[in-house]
Amino acid sequence: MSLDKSKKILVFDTSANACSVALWANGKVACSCFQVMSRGHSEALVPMIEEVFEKYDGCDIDVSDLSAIAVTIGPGTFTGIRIGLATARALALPRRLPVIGLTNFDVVFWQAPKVKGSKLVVLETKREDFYVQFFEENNEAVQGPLALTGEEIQTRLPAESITLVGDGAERLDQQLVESGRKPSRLFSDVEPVAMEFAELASKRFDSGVYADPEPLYLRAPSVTVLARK
Amino acid sequence: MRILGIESSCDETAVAIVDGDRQILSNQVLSQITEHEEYGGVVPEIAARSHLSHIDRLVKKAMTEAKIDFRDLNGIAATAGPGLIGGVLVGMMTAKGLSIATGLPFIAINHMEGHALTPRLTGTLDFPYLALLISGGHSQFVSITGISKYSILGTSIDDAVGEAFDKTAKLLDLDFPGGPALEKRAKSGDPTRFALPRPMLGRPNCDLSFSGLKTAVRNVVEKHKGHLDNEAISDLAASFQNAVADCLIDRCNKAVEDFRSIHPTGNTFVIGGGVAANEYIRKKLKNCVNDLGLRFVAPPINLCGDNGAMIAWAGIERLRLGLINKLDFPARPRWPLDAPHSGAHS
Repeated sequence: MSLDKSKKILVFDTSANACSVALWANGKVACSCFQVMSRGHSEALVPMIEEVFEKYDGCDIDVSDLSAIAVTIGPGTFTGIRIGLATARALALPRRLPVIGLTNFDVVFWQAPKVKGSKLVVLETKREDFYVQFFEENNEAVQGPLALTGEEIQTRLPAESITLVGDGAERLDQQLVESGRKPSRLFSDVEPVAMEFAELASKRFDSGVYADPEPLYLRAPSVTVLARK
Repeated sequence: MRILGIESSCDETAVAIVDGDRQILSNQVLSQITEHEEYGGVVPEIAARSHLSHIDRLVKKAMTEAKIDFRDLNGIAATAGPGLIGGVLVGMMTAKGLSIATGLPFIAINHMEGHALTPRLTGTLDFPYLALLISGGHSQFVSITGISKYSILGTSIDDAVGEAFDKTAKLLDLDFPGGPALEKRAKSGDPTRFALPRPMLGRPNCDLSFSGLKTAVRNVVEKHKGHLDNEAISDLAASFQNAVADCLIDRCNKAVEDFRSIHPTGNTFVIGGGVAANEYIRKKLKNCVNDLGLRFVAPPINLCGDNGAMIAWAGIERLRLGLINKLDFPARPRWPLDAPHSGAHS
């Protein structure tokens, strides 16, 4: 246990195409790790957490020094969401630490460049549809989260221009342009990175408004039946 | 020594705490049967979601029931395979998370190792011994000469025994889970009414096969165009179960012969896995094994199916030998019991 008693939040993401861990301490990201990966999160995550603990200011800290744990809850890969949440809950359990769940929409919206006008966060589903959530200029999420097809999104969009943010932005914009809409402003390379959304986790912690997080799958399980063991 | 064990490789979410004196301080098993019932089989994504929904609550419940604190534990063990990967990952990550939160060692367990070592939890049993592990995912004869010293003498070349039970139960339109439902129906049936095949009988190795038997049941059902009366269903269930028992007995004879040729002093035969809970099969195997002059050991029914106690116990056995694992240990959906325990250090 470290003597440094400042607020410390361990933040991580395993929900999509990378694995990232950050430690928020003394009002900033004190140290972090990031690796691009489409699989292998279950092997990488815990050693990366240990690495972040070791890197902190040169003085080894551990879970007992934490004030909270924050994790992305989706939508993303089902397996990735579960790896993150199972680890966060287990880390928190012995000391009853609070766990803060952040949706991937909140995180991607937070990480996107701050530009005027309303935004649509569009996350790739790797299927026909998109995971979307609308945010107004005042940073309020106004609709969603939802899983919608391009056509369904088209009918719900306001006439004025909107900024599309997230890894599904480009594919959606193509579809919208094909059906007659003017190209939108795109920030398509915004994906969850713990060191970038750690401050959001800290703000959420300070607000005290968070509940035990549940996974946000946004899709019912596909049914393939196996023999029972 | 006390270990917390986590099992989540199929459709039971299970957490247990076991000590080195073979005391089970808590054994929480939450079955997902009602969640899979309407599909007539286990749906992997539903299973994985359900494991995540319940596992940390079960950890707390086990700790409360055992009346201990995390400081009173010596390690955290979890099934790391084989099994449904989504569920295995939930249990394994829970164990890894608890491991760094507490500083306790993490111990990755092969699910089949849990079944294979259960008789050493429920009684005194020295190595070597011969195990027949029969469940919905596996059917194998294993010669066990020590921890991590497992050699597979024979295995099913197609369906596992439990799989054959479940598929046959489905053909007979019995409730899910099929194995126990079939056993119940077989009680009132005539095991001699339908002539069903006994695959692999007399073969020179110890392998098993059950898919032909299941197909034979399908042929009977189709011949009757699905209009089997209640009595016929019971008779067919009994005939099927009897055929399975005959196959297992024949294969046991061969396995015991092979085992004795390697370990002339070995004198114990154990069974494990969900199908080991089938009373008819237990009884038949016991008679066969006793006739062969071996001691027959079967765990209590509640420790035949998947449970956390067997994982915790395997954890104790491994920790005693210093066999702990690094936190980058990969989940292994397919993990033969005789494959090297990669990632182990010391």
